[in-house]
Amino acid sequence: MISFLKLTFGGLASRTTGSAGLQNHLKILSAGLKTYDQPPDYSDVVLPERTKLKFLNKVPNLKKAKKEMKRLRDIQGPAKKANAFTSGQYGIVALGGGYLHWGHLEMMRLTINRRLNPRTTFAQWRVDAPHKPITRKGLGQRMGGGKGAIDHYVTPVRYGGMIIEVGGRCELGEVEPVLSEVAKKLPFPAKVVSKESLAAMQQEEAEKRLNNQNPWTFQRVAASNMLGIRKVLSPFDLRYHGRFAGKFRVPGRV
Amino acid sequence: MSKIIDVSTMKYANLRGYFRCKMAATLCGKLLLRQGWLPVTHCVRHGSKAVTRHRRPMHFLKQKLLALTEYIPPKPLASQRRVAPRNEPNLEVSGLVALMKREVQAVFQECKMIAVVHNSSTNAEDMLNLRHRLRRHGITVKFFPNQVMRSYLAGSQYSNLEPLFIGQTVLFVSKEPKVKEMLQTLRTTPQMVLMGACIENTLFSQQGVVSYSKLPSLAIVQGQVVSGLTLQTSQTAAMLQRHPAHLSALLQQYLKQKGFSGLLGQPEIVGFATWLSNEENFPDCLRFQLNSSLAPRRGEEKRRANSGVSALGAPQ
Repeated sequence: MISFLKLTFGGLASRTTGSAGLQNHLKILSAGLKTYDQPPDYSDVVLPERTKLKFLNKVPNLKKAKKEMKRLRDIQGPAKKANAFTSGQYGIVALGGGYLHWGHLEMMRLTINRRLNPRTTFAQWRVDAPHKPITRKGLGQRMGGGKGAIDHYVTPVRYGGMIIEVGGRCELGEVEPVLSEVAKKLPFPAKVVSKESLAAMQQEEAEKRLNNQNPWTFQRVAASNMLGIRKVLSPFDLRYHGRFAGKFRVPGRV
Repeated sequence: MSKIIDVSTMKYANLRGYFRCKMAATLCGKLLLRQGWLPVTHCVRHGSKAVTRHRRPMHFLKQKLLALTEYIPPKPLASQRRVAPRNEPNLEVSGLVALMKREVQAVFQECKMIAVVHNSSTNAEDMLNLRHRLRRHGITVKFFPNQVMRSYLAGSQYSNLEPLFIGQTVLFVSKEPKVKEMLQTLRTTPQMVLMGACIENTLFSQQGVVSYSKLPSLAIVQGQVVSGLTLQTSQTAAMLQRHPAHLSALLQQYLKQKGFSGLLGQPEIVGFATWLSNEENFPDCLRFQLNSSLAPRRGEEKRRANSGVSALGAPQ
């Protein structure tokens, strides 16, 4: 019995040594082997306390609602504020001016909160709750009789303004389908950007402005009022050099 | 006054002014009378339209200004343009291309006749017929992509064929140079146009191929050369083989004709010999024979006699 055990153990030992010897001469088949990229480092990502999008009030909490004029100036031209990332990495940026209704905001909130994982990602509003009153006259009412009652509130958005920011332990490929689905439904052209792509976009625009080979720039012609062109130009044109037509960004202009 | 006076032009004119005007009008004659009535131009403001749905129509001058001040991108520097490689498709990476290249190489190594033919919309039936007719003479039709051909030719000794490979090109290939048969077949297919050929490692143009086809076959030419050469040598040999007796007979015949019979050894004979030794007087038919029979000349004999050495002695 003991001899048998010895034999078996001896055999095992010999086999293991043999296999070790074999391993040295093992051929490693390289076909099918993959070298994976290193996963991104999320060690410095800090998730905020509330990772989901907040509910935005449909109507601002005001003591006395005041009717306002149209003031289309608030959607014309480029965004002066909320045009850069704060804490997120990916976002939706407006490529034209327009008014966001409460419905749009709710659609965005519901879609994004449903589709994004709140444990790894967070989303933030970069637009305020609807605050600009829009008046309408009631249905079937005769014209006249003064300004109508406040119907609803909207949020004005300018070209280049951020609408939503998404960040956390996620990559662009994960959040892009959701964000682009949302961006399609907005009342102005909008695009999904990452921090890098937005910087690249701005950089490209600045470079184009710098490297323009056309000696006749809008700014030069308008500033020196060549051939009395100021007759057909507005102060708006003087400020933005023909890059904007109302709430629209004229494509290709520098 | 019969003329109609435009009062609107003289809004503030009192009576005196009106007359002054009239006087001036009469003074200036017809020039001022031609002046038409200008409607008062109003500057009407319609207020700013609060339309945000669409772009407002732009003023034409502003459109012009926008067209004038369009963005013009900077041109890449000349050095950059030169350095940047043309975006040629990298043919070497594809295994199929490498395979086809090898096939082309094999064709160029094996075949003696490679004709490049432009194919201008031959339908499948015609092509089948053409292939059949060419096949009878052992000529095969090959299709290779032009890029593959160019990439092969660029590195080979046939690089001058490269400009032929533009558009639809077909190769007629055979192991033996059967140019005449190929040209006959091509005569009946106007869709196929011969561009050039490489026959036995020689590049031919279209005319070159035609003139090549008119040449007789190699065996006939070789036969002609050989027969020409043998004729010369056989003639020489026949002449050499004639006996020197033939010479003496000819000479005797000659003397007989001159009437010198029975006077051999006489001074006249010596004179004839001197006359004969002069090469210019020598009859053509005999010259070769004389030279070849090593007949010593008169001057030479004299020299030899003076030096006291026999005619057949060692050289002086």
